[in-house]
Amino acid sequence: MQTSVASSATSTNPTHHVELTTDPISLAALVDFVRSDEAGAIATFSGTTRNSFIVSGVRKSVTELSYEAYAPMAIAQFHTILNEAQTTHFPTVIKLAVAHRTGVVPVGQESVIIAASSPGRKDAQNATAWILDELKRRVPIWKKEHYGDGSVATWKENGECSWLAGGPH
Amino acid sequence: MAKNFQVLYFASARDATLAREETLSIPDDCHTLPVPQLIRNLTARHPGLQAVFKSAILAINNQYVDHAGRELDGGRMVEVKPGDEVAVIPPVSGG
Repeated sequence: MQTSVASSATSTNPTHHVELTTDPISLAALVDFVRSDEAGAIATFSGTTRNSFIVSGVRKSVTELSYEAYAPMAIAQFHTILNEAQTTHFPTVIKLAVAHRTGVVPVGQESVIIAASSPGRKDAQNATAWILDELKRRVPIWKKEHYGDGSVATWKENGECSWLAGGPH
Repeated sequence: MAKNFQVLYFASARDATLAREETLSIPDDCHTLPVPQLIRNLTARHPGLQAVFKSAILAINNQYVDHAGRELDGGRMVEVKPGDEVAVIPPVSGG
C-alpha cells in the first residue's frame, strides 16, 4: 500500500501547497493554508465519492472506490498546474492548495479538495475550477470502482484526459 | 555493463501485467531504445498490454510521451536510456 506522501518544500513555491495522502483530507487545513490578510475571498472545491454511477445507461451501486497515484509525477504535475494557474491564468491569486486522497476512499468522503485565495472573488473561484479541470486532464491518478452487484471492478477514465481527445498515437 | 531501466505499471496496466515494477535492459548492441520498440517489447512480454496500449501512453522520467516517442509537452522526440524510469499510463481518472 502506498504511504502518505506530502510534497517537499524545496524548489516549490511557498504560496502553493500540494498533498497526496492515504489519510482523510481536511477542508479546514487547506482553507487555513490559503488564508491571507490580503485576501478578500477564499474559494474551495470538494470532490466526494458517491454511492452510484451510471454504467452503459444502468445505475450501479458502488460499494467502494479506490485511487492509485504515480506519486512523484502526480506531485510534480500538481505543482506545474498551480504555477500555470497563478502565472498565466489568474494573476491576482494569492495562495493555492490542492489535496488528493489515494487508497480506499469510503463513500461520502472527500477524494479531492482545492482551495484558492485572491483579493476579489473571481480569480479564486475560477482558479479552483480550472485546477480541477487540469487535474482531470493530466495528473497521473486512477480511480477504481467496486460494484454492489458483484460485477468486475473497473478503472475509470476521465473524459477530460488530455490524450483521449485526440487519441494517443 | 548493464544498461537497465525501470518500468512501472499503473491501474489497468498493473492488472494486465500482475506487476508493479520491472527492471528491463537495453539490448547490448544499442545505446538507447526507441519508444515504438519498447512498446513492442512490452506487449510481447505481457500480451494483456495490447488492449491497454489502445488508450495508454508512457511517461519517461515524469514526462508524458506518445507511442512514437514524442513528449506531449513540447514535442521533443525521446528514446529510453539506461537509468530511465518509464511508466505505462492508462487514461487518468483523478478527481
